[in-house]
Amino acid sequence: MSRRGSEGRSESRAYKIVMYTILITGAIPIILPFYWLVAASLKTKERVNAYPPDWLPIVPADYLKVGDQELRVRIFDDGRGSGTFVARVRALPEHGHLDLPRAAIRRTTADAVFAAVDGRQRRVELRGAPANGGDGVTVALLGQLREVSVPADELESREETETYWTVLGRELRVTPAELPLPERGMVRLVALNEDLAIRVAPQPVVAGAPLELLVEGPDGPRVRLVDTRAPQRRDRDRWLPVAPDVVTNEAAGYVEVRPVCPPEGLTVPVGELRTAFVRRVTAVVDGRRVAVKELSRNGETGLVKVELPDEPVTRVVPAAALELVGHTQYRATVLGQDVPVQPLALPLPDDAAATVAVRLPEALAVTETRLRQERTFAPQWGNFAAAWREQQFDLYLVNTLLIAALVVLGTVFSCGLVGYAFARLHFRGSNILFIVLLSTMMIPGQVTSIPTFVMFATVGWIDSYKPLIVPAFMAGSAFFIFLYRQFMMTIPVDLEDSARIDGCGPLATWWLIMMPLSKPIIVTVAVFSFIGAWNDFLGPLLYINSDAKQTIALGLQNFKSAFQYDDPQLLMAASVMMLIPALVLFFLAQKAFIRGVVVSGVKG
Amino acid sequence: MRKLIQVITNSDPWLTALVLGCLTIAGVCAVYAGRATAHPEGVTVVTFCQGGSKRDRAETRALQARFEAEHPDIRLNIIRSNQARKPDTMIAAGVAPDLIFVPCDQADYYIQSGALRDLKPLLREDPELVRALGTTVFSEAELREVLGPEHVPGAAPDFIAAMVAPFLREGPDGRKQLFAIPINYTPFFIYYNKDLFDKYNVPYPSENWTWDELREKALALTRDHLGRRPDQPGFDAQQVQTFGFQYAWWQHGVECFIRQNGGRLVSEDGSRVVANDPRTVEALQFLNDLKRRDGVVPTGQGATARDIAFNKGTIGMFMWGVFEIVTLNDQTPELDYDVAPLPRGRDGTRASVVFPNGWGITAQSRVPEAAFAYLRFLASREAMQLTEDPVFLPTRYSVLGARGPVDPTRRPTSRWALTHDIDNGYAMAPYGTTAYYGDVYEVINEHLNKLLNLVEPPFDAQTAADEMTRLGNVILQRDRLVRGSTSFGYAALAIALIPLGYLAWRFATRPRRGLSKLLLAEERWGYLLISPWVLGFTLFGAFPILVSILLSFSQWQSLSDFTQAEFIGVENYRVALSGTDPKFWTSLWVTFRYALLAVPSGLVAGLALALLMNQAVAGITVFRTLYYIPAVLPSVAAAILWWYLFDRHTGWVNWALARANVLSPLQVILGLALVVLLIVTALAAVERARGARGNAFARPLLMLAGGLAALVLLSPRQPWIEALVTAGVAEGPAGGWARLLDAGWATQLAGAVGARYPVAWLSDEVVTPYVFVIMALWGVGGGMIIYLAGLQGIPTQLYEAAEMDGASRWQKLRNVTIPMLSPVIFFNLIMGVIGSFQVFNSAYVLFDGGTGPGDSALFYGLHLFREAFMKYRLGYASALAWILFVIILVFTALIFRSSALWVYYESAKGKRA
Repeated sequence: MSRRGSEGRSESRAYKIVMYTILITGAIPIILPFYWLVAASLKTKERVNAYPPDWLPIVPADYLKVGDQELRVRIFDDGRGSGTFVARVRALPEHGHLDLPRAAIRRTTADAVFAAVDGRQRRVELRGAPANGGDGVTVALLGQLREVSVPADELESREETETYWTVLGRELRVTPAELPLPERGMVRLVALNEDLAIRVAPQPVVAGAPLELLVEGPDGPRVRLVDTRAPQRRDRDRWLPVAPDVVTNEAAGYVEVRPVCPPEGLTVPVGELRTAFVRRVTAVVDGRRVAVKELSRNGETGLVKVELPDEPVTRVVPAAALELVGHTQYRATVLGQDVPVQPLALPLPDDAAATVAVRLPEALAVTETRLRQERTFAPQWGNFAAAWREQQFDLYLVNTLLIAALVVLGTVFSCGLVGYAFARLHFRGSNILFIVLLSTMMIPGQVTSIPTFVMFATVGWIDSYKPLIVPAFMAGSAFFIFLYRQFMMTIPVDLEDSARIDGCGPLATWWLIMMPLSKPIIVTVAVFSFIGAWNDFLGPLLYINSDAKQTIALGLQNFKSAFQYDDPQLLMAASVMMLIPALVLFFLAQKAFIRGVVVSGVKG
Repeated sequence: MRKLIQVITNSDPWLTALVLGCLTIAGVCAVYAGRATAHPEGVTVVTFCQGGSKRDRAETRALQARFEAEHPDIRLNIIRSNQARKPDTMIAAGVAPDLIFVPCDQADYYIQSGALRDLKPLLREDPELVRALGTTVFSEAELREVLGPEHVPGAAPDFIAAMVAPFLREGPDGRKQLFAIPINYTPFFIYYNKDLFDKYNVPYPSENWTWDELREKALALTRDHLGRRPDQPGFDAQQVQTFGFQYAWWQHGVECFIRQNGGRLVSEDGSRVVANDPRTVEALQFLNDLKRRDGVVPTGQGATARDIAFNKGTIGMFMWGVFEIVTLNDQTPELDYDVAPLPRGRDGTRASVVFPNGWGITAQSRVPEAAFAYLRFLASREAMQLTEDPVFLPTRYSVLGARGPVDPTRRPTSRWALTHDIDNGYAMAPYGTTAYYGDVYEVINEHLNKLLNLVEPPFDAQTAADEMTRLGNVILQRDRLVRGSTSFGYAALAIALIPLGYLAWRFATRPRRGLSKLLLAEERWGYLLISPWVLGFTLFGAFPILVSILLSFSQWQSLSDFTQAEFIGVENYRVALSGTDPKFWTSLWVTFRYALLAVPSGLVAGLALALLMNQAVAGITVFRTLYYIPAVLPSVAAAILWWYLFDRHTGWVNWALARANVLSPLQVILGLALVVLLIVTALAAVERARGARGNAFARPLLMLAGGLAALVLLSPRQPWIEALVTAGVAEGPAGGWARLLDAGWATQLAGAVGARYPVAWLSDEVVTPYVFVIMALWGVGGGMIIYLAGLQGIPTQLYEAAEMDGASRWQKLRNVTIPMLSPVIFFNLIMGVIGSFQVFNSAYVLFDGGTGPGDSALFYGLHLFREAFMKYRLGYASALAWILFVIILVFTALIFRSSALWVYYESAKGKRA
């Protein structure tokens, strides 16, 4: 830069403006892919491959205007059709209701069972056959209202302690028998909460015999579940239990068991329990106190709009109340499309003008112009932590640093030594050897990789870091030796001679005079060899086997295959993290780095 | 000693800090690094490799937990690697994992090379497994012997016979040997979209449906944008909204239809390709007709391929494996689909290709009993039931049955169809035959792709069948061409070392004349100081090079010991150069083409960038770092990045092209010219401001104004342009010129080079070479640094002298900078040529080790790697490496010879005489 320094005064402002314009314009295509990587690492999974692309990590919310109300929807397919742009959207549950004229509804074929529940016709699902002698049958309500209004004074809000117990790797909510909990010792659990489900592999069960399942924990049997009510269904060569409390998951080969409470209770160590405080709002709905979420409050009427819990409520109703409508499912024309809908209550038989509330289907197709998109800037910083946790990256980091530190040390000094010998010492054959050295740069790495691998395997160095580190101490890079030699040739001989006169041998001269004067090239070699070791992929791929010995680059490659399709944003986050050390190092060392390359010159 | 202390105390603090810093980091890390779980005494460790997706990992973890709980004395060491050939590398190195994954098409390869152990002796420990394998493996007599009184004669085995068959071989005593136990498999069947069937009133496929029914249904389900069927008049093949059928066009899928018709692709014993069998051709013709004549099958190249997918509801019937069920159930809950078995052939034959995957124990394993304990666990009903997702199906009837029943709550309902072909005993595993099986497979797939997937060029079944038969048999013959007779062992290696030893001896005993004592001492120091390199070069350079020269004259392609290589003379070189290996010339062409495109553009771009970076403006260091980032980026990360950016449908590259596509070709040419003009004008303005003489300023400004006006006037939206274009197109010959004014320059440019728009960067062989050039140009910062170094080394006086003479910027660049920089340009040219001949990483990661569409990414380096580490023909690969070396040498020599004409060398300053 010395040259420009003398000329600096003549660089006008106009010149600078032109230069900056060119520099910035040129930087855009270079930086854009890199920017894409950083942006993608902060996006949500769904938005990584969004089209048109998102410039910023945003979370969009799409709204669909229907009549005078606006529904929030989810686009699940924004495929570009050959004609108009069509996006298929999925209505979100909180806005999933729509009032339609009854005439819009028509029947198609499917099975449905309706029952009068709480004075209203509701679609239900049979959960158990009518029991002998009894007059009740278990049904599950379907398509129930998710929002109701209740008087404000019906609401009850209190803080509760919830206790969790981890069994078989799953955290379950439990109710301990005695409270407060002692610090240590055992505690008896009287009831496991209702949505507890443990998956166990099915065992052959004899028809008619009570179902008995033993849930095994990591250290021995833990919970014994007995269910004698289970009727059975024949499945080819095995009996599988089917009961209200037992759900088969055939594809997975599991049975899901939902015990209401273990008969004899359960004793577990207190240390295994975790407590949490939650604020819970409850309200009486349909004569039952249920946990709700408050949505809005109307001060004038004193009514509060609440959201009901999601899971179907199970009730016992008289068998006589069941009405089998049979082969009914409803369809309606919504937004010009014929879609299936689900009525929340049956319309009155003869009232043609009445309107009926229906539940929108999951999918609707609408044109793009009908959607309003609200884009929230929401970088997902959690991606980095999630990516880091997904593999043992902290261990890989330590491994890589170990290799890199030793490779840098070995390369810097062994290449420096050899470079010095070639630059300054006279010995017969030095020219021939130097030409040999330079010609090794031309030999493709693949030529030597096979025999080298066999050689390391013979001495038993596979799955150790030795094949990666030892060559570095043997001046493994011809290019670095070349750089050192070129640089050291420019150092005045006088300095060396004065050291010789002081009685230094070549080795001491090298260490005391030449190396301190070669700092720019040392920085260059150190940065190059660090980046090389940090990014090295083929070396560890061939020589490292154990999971615990892997390096970051190898970890990233394995990460790629595992996450490229499932979680691309995590892959990007891992890539970004891998880049940072090399980038920071390069930025810091840049000045010395360029000087090193400059002074050594590449003109032989 | 005192001297040493003196040296150390006088050390430069900076150097000391560097040494201590590195040592401290290494020391601290060494404490934690490679911290594997310590295994207590008496615990056996069983090693195997496994990669796979997130889901596979979770599954393996669950199996591991279960197994280790049951066997406290055995611990599993799972090597995470997604390299399919990792176990092979380990076998070759003599550190084989205990268990290896054996897909059925690899079975032959592993068994023939002796890598696997016969499991029969181990099986005796597990009567349950023996009973389950039953007559598929054992004779009645053997069963009686092993099981004793518990043996029930004639009991049906629990394992599906077709799954076990690929892993069986006849032993020397005439008894069967079993080398791997099949754990899972994937069959083919048909997914069908019930909504589409209902919409067009087509009956669902039945259990015994046939080819003709398949065609009928496909015709009824295929509709264009106006709802017309292909057999109706006016059907518009360019505007198809729903396709009736999508088949698996590659070998395994097609073979289902071939076998249903009684044909074969490869003869029973695997020695010949018999694709020209009339029954095979008939099946191929049937599939080809579905695509080309009936138009009911989408092609891989359709402009609307994004919308044509079973999960988008635009395909009626879809032939695929089990894995799609998981995806469909997870991601498209609204799609109402079901599954059906494959149709029967014309004469009622039912056939489906299945692909069993097994696990075997390596011959090298030192703990076969412990390894068998895990294998036994994998093959147990319990473990098969534990498997989370139906990505594959279990190979035991008893477990399979539990997954079969109809369940109205879970799609697909007709689960019986998944296993129907197995139950009826018509399924068959594809074959694996010789070491060249992979090559035959590639040839067959290449032709099936042309015949059944691509639109162009039109291809008929007979031609395709004849071609694949001919080429496939050439490859299979190659296997039998030459068999070496001399087996060279370590003796050959010793002979290889003789020249080296001779040279060293000559060197050491050369008479030392006229050397003073001082010089002798210096010489000794010289040898001492370069000794690390000499040692390193001998071990990691010379020795491997000599070995690889020897290897290149030998045949060594199994996983056997290194000394098993057979000497076969120049056969490897003959195979490469004579065209017996057609991929050799392909890869050479791909590499040359890349070098021709990338080296000159890289040289120019690097130089331009370096000139830019040499400006003395504030913050230039930041820009230097920015431009250098791509060179620091690890190749894995870079390839991942570009893989997404070049995505045909969602990539930023095509997005930007789509934005710019409103311009006409003329506008683009004009615009580029204007940018150049703008820069020139700006620089001229600067010169003028500095008081330079001349009036080179007004003219560019005028041209600029005129150009801008033309740019606006030529906008495609102008009515007179539209009129001109329409007229021009109608008139014919003038049309080509008129299109220069029409919008859509990218579409037109793509059309001109024979690609389709939007450009499928990664799957269209016409454009993939440019992808690599773009990636290389992006990383041009590496070359820039070296130019920059050269630029800064040019003495200032030269410029000052030039300025005295009144030289302009351009003249200084032309007459000072470039000549002074020519040695650097020369260096970068040589490095660029060498580099482009060794391209490997980007191609390998971008196409996951594949060769790219139409082998367009088969760089020489990749071909070599595939031969060496994926096909294990190490002798041939060594020959390829040496051919590469000679090519590089010739090029370097040519450039060196030409350098006298254009490289300007200053006096060799700094060199001591």
